[in-house]
Amino acid sequence: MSTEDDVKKLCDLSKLEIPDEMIMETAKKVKDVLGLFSKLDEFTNSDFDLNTVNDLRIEKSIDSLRADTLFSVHVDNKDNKFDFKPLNSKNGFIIGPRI
Amino acid sequence: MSQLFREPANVIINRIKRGELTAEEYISVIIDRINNMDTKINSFITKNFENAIKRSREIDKKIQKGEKTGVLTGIPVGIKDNISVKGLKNTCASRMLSNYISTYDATVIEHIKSEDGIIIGKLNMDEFGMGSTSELSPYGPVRNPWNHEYVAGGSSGGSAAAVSSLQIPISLGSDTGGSIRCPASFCSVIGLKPTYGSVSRNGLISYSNSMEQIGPIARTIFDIVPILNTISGEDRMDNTTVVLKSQYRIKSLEEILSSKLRIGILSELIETSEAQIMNGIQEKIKVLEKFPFDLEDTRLGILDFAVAAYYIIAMAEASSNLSRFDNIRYGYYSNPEGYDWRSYFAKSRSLFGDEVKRRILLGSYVLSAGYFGKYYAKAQIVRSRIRNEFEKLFMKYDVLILPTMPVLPFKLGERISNPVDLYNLDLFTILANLTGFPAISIPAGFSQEGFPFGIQFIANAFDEQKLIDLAVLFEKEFDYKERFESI
Repeated sequence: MSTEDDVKKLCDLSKLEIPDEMIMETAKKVKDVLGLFSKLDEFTNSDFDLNTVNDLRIEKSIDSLRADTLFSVHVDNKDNKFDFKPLNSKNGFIIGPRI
Repeated sequence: MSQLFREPANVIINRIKRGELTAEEYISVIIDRINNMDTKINSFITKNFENAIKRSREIDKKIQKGEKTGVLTGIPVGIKDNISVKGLKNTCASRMLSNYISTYDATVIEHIKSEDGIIIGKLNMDEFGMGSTSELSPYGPVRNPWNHEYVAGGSSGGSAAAVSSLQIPISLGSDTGGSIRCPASFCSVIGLKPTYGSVSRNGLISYSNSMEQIGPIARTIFDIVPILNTISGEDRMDNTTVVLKSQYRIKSLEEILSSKLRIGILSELIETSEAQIMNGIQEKIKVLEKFPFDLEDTRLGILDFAVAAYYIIAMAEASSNLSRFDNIRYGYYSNPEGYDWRSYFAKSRSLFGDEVKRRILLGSYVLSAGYFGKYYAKAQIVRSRIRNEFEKLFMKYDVLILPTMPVLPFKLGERISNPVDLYNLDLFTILANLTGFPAISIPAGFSQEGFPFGIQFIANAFDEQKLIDLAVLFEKEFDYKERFESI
């Protein structure tokens, strides 16, 4: 991740515009910073599990989560009012994911 | 009267409360001083003089009527330009927000106003707090009051330089990786980063919200205590804040000495600093030996990875936090005609500075699916390890001592082209942000060339009182106030 093409692609993904004349300089600085980050490659610690971050255990892999479904929307033609109820709600509150 | 700007806030408050001086007279002196000095220092982005005079008259009326006034009566406070003050521009030193006017007061500002402090203006900084020199501002660099060709440190450079150059007695900064303590060290003032959760962040424009805290800057610890008491405490608008057990106070010397502080000295870090800083700090530690404290050398084992871990987490959070500046919710007016949403979003974000753009790019990269484990998850593990190491040290010691910065202030533009070089200078300050522990930088002396440097104390979570105690002792032992005569 240090060529000019890589930086252009990353700009596109990050929705940022960097002028063409700045791309080379940006690529060089990005490369330098990634060199600093690669210091972490030397870090090994068997006491820590990569799935445990700040005492929060990531219990489910992302692909095992349910696919989102759309709200059920009821349109009252008489009053021209929308009456929709989110699927995951209780007493008027949306139920969020449990941590 | 014309030399009143030299007096610390605690002296002025007493004089105003006793009726020896009016708040309006004092504000006039301060405004004159700012008008004379700030052309050289460039610490203000927005000046709030009209409102300040109006407010000072209201305070004078309260005193005349015999009403009770607050702990900051009549004191002008400068605010870093990433903290919201209703009705004032809040630019974060970014062209992106150059015309944005805050619609509400940050919680810390509400507290200052309710204690009869006066908001005198908004202070210069690195764009969105991303930098450690205060050069990365479209309003021009902040200049070090001790030598105008040198950096003031950052990112709260305006906050430290305005206090150091005797323009204002107290200011607020924000500290994400040393942004209060670094400029405090470079400008010879006191800067305190409180424990994460002790000061509300409501109204602070977020850069890296798991690490940043608002904190005070002043010339004496006697001024730090009232402002810290004012801004600390639980806030229902910030769920990370906690109820604090008691107010901070200045203890007597006897009381401080009877506490028998256990002090750990991080010698390894002292020895890797520039020679003049190393010698200066070792001298100060020798003086501490005459007090009934337990002093012991100690070390931290995982420092090699701290800078990388800090910048990975900070950039990841920055890429998320700054995505709100899309010209739909926040930003500046720009006609969207002829653009699809994606290109409009990219175009509107082109007003970010180069350093901010680079951090967004790198933040997006380290969070991307293929690299999450390699960078972000690992950085969080390193962060946990560092915190665990500190927790173990705090079972043995009350306070840890280390330099604030490993270097003396350097020339404007000297290091700006090499970001990694600058990032590595933050090693001593980022530790308190990664762990959330409180830290203070206090003046520790001057180099032969006349540049200031600071000494840093770190304490356990919510042990700010111990930092204050040690700072009181240092201030009584080594008084640098006479140095300000030269400014």
